[in-house]
Amino acid sequence: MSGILTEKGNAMDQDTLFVVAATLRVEYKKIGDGSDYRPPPQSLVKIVARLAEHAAQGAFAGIPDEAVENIIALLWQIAWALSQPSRGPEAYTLFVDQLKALCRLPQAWSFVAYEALAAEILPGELKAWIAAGKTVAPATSFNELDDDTQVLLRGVDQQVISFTGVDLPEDVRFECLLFVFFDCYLGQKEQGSADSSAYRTVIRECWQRRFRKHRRYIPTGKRVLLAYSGGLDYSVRLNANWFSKFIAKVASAEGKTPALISREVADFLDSLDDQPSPSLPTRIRTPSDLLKALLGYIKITNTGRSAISRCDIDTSSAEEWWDIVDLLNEIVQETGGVAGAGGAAVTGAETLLTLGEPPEKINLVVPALPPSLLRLLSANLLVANLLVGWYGGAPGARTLQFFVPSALPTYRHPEIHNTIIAFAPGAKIVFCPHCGAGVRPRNSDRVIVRNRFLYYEANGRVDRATQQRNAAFKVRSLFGFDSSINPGLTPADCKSLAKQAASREYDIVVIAGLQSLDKSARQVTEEEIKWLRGGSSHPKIHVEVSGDASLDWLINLARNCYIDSLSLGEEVSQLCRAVLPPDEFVRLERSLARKSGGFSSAIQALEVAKRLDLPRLYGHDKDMDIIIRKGELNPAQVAVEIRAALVAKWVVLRKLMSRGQISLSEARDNMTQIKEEGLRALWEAAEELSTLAGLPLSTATPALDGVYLKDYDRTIILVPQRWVYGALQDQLRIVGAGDTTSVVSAVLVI
Amino acid sequence: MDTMDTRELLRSITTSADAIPPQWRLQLIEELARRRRAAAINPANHLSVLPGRGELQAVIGNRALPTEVRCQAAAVLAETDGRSALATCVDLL
Repeated sequence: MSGILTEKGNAMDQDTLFVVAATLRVEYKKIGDGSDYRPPPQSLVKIVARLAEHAAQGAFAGIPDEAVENIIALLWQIAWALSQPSRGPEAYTLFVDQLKALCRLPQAWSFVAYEALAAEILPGELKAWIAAGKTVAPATSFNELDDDTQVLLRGVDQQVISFTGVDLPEDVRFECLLFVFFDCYLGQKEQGSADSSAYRTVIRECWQRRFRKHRRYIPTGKRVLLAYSGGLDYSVRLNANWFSKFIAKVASAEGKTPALISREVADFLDSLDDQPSPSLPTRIRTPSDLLKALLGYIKITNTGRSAISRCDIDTSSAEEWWDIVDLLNEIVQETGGVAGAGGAAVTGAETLLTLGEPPEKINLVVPALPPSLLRLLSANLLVANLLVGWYGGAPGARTLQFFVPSALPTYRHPEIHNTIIAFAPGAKIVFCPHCGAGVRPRNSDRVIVRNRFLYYEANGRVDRATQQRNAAFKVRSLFGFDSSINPGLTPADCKSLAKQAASREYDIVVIAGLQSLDKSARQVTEEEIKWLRGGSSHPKIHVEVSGDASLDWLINLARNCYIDSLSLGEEVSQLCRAVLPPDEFVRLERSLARKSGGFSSAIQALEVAKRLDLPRLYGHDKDMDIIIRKGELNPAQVAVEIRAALVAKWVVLRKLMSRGQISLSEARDNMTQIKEEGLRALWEAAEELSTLAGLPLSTATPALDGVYLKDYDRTIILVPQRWVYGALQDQLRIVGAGDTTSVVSAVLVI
Repeated sequence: MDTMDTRELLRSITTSADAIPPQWRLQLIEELARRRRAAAINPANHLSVLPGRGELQAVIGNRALPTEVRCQAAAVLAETDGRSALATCVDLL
């Protein structure tokens, strides 16, 4: 059989390294199983010697680092396991000595050795530490950790240094410890997994390594304008208490008893079972309609997110709508709903700022800037403001001034309040305390009830007097602001504003929420984008798609080459349907019927990118992100995209955690180091992409480094999601994580 | 799959890449792993279906096969014969 094996001295390749890692992983597992198994020392010595020879000859050049690093880490883990007192370490002295020598060659391997052993030692120490009832607050640097935690980690540091002899600066070691600590702390359930399958070797470990490696954000210094979407998001947790209050208020508003309302809702939900294509109230006219729509969506949607754009509260001028908005706001307030700044433009700007981008280079323009939103923004965020002196007569340093030729009156600004109703898939939500009737969401975890601009009083109720004064709310363009605020703004003024913005020489313009612009504003907005793009800095345009409205206009913008980078979530299917001729879409749907969900999303995204000739598309799918770039990317270009996505995922998560949207204890129970479903989805999709690309031999390459598909002239890269949420009934979902991640990624890459 | 003998299993695993879906191939190799584990627990039971060291090494060393299949074969060999598995690694390197 030896003839079939590779001859010694052959050029090294990624697959061979994976095979070696798979073997070492089983050996490591056998040693750790508590048996008295000991691998033959001479084989381990020979493996290390071969690696040293290859490294000296530069044989690993061109092979993804993670494949070699897997082996280095496993060898150190084996060495550590064998060094335990009962093992008789003397037989392995030469092996450990050679390993030390190997890791003195490139410093990167010293780091791998350090990290591998830190990850090996920490879970054991952490177990005792948590058993003693200790907790930890989020920290972004070692020095921010409390004293007890620092002592714990310094102890681990000493053990690792003493065993490996690696020579790394203290700041590098402590940063590594901090990351490993949080990984172990957050992902305890995953620790000690005995999985030794190829899946773990080829995909899981490599992505885990990448996630640990790529999380340092280095400010780009790019000048970025983020335009348009901004509002307030109220997050609430859907549970029996919430429903009890909701039903009581609906009953009161409609003059019925809560029991009767519950029965009506139960009957309505039962009726959905009999319908092949259940229909829900599309025109919400009464509080009952809202209740039925919410429960109906939760019951019938598989993803929940598909309901987002269709579960909007329409803010027409009719007063009954305002009653519904008031009712919802009351419940939100009574059930402890938390308000946060929302909208991808706002969260993107805030995130970039806190990541260290220079404040003078991150500019935000939103159609309205009410005090409620202003209070939530960072003090040093530059916000474009036409209405000089509007807030308290003191524009302050953060106001980005634009010159407006027309004299503008200053009115109050309207607000957008979105209500994010989060719940746990699989857990029954009881809405009738009397009969126990309830609904069980399938895979969905949230419904967003959106409204458009409304005026609110200080107590949170709709300001009816103002509504009557300003029945029509229309946003005139990216720079148009709301017509009710500045009715004097002319199209010429809007153009002037765009030209002024263009003169600021932005590198990137991020446009989010564009689709909710009024139809009458399309032409002038297109002109504005043209002006911005035609500026001397030729800024790249990144568009965040939100919802399935106005897709025709979005397509038009893309076909006119106004979009350099497009990001979308669940809208990929709708957009695919919109760009493909109907018969082709039907054929595509049929061909994808038996394929995995991840692969289907990938193909739909590829179709969109190809048909619209997009240079870049970033899709945040349920379990993984899909990045598509035009042409065949070289490995370095692929690495840049992957790094940007991973850094963005990490920093966005940390930022949202530090804003207190989720507590660390909740996170510990609900997060894993990498979302397992993401890896599985990626594995399946990679397998199918591999076949499509004519690479039937391995899924490793598409799963790790993306793949070029000639038919689409696109390179597709898949990145698993980092965290899991919604696993517990009481947990709030992280809102805006997908949008913010793609904004940060775009700023890093385009 | 349960009724296939070891040689038939191996033949399916090592058949040309185009002729067999990747998922099916992984299932075959997992079946191989299952048999080896069963044999390790009670050697008398499964000798007739136990793939030999050489047969597994053939899979591990065959660069025409998908990476994950080779990895799985390496894991199967390491589970029951660590010495040979490590020696195979030395040869591969």
